[in-house]
Amino acid sequence: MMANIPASSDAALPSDFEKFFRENYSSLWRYVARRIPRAKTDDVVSTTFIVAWEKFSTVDNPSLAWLIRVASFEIANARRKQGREGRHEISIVIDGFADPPNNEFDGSGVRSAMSRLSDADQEILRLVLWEELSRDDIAQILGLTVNAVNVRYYRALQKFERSIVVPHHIYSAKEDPNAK
Amino acid sequence: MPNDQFSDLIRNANPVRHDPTRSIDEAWSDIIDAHQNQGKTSSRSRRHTSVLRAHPRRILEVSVAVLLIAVVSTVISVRGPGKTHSLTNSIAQAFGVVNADAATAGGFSATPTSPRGFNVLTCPTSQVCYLESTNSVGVDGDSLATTAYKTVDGGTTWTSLSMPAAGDADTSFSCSSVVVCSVGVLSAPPGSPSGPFPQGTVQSMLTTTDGGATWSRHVVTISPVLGIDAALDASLVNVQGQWSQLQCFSESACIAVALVPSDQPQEPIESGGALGVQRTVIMRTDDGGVTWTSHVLPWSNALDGSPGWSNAQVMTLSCATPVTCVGLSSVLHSVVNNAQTSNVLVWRSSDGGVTWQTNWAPAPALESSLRLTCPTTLQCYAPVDTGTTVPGGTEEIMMTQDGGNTWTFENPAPTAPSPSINEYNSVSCTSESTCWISGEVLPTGRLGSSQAAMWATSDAGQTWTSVPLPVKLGIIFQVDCNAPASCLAVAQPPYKDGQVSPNGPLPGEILSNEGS
Repeated sequence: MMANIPASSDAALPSDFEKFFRENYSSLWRYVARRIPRAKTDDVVSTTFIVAWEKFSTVDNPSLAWLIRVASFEIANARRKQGREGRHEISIVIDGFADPPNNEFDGSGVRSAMSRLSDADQEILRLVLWEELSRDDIAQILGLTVNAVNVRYYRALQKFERSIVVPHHIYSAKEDPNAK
Repeated sequence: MPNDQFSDLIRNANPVRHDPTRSIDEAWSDIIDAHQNQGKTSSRSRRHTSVLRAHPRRILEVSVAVLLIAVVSTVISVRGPGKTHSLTNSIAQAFGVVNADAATAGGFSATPTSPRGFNVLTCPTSQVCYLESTNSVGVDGDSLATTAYKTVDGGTTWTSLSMPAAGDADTSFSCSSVVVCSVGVLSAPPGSPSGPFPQGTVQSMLTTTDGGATWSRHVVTISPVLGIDAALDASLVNVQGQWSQLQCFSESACIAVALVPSDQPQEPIESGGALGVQRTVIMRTDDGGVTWTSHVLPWSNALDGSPGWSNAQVMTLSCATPVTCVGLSSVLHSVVNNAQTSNVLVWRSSDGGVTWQTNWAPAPALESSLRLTCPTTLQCYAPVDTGTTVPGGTEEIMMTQDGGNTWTFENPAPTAPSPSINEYNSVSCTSESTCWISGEVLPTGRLGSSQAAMWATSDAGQTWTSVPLPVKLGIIFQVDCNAPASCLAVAQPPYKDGQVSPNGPLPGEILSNEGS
């Protein structure tokens, strides 16, 4: 259901932009929240939609992939601003999203291993496995061919394998139901 | 091959799976307000608005971002200024080759190449090169298959080679002459389980002594390190290690770096589940791969906070002679609560890898890459991650002039005035002082806007000169040079505005202005 909010007095609001916003807001929020601290997430998400609003009518097929591409620039801006404030930039959000303490797997070791990869390797893994975007969408976001996305993903996964201590059950051919 | 377990590990470590903290109506209301405010506030006050607005350059970037790349195959000759020697470079990717000659200024030419994919080059001469072209195959493209090609005309034309073992090449070609080359291939029977060391995979060494016309194949046994934990040993039946690197000095003498599973328990970085340590093994053959000797590199538990190293990280190795080798590996240290940091450990051997001396590389080296080149027993060059811009970010070139005792650092692509991430994809040297580095520069934090670059030094790395490229490229994966100054490199074209992405590379165009 659409919100009972008066339409913008700005006549430039495209008629279907609100629908586009509502279809993609949650996905974009999660994308941003995985990459910058939570305190800045809402701001970056809002900024992204403002930019998208301005460009919405000029884009042939606005999509989540296009929106993520827009957001990536906003995230870069936020990181640069953070850097100017004397803090280290971050490539991956590690803190603040821990699973319940009784969960044996909290993912921190995996995210720590991911953070040791290059930015490009981290990003391809996040886009495939966290954003769960199609390879076509990722190709659009990264400006690569689908083939290049596949090869980069595979290589990044190989680097990840070598950067993490191996849970021993994966040596076995038999599926361990408790492994995942 | 696909690796579902590791994919699931990452997937399950997703830190944000819940809905946004604000309601969607509240978020929409904010956007309406912010957009309206933009029309009412002055440009000065906008700078203080929490919701930033787009500027023209950003709009341009966004507008081009929705368009996809079409990949173009090119062979390009370059004649550029500045060097006293002739420099003939070629940049080929899946899609293209660039030839560069720095002796004269300006000229470029380009011709298409047939191999398409993620390509790795080995050039025993300036004209003869072998190329491994790896492409994604299978459902969702998660599997890889390698096809080998050869050129005898400096990258202008390529002929596919018929290899006796199908699979994913897990090492580059290593050629001791123009016709004698070996390569490691990892193959798995249909239905093999995934994972870093799945049961049933077969490591082979393929060798040709006639330039690729015929090949011999030797299956290489790479045994796990066992005998510590009987329970874990039981899970390592029919499991082998695999190579990460192969270097051959003749048709009979080769040295290989292998990563093998072990039953050495290690302090878990994830709670739950039995853990084993991957170990590094140095393997040698002196009979063309029929028999091998193995030396397991030492390991100590660095996760207890004491100095030490684990070999979970793959060693990169370069042997200037059959007996004099230098290796680099990244070493994980625990700090607090299993958080990790790393340093670079230098390995040196003067007996072909039987015994090793170790010393720590100095700061700012944090992590080694898999790209080390030692043109002599004294000089070595390696890109290392220094983490100076972002974690896992900017690399510098670490160099030694005394066989690995002491190291210095240079950054051919400085980050100032524009912050960027530099990744150096390969180093190739034709003498103790003349080397080329290929890589990419990525403005900090941005996606998909990397730009390939190449640098050269003729003074042993004291100064690096940017090598002009005839066309804009996204990535240069590898450069391979021969004396006096002839190079071939594999590259990927950049994102191009207005082109539609194919599901793979397109046939290329021919560009030529050589001699202009």
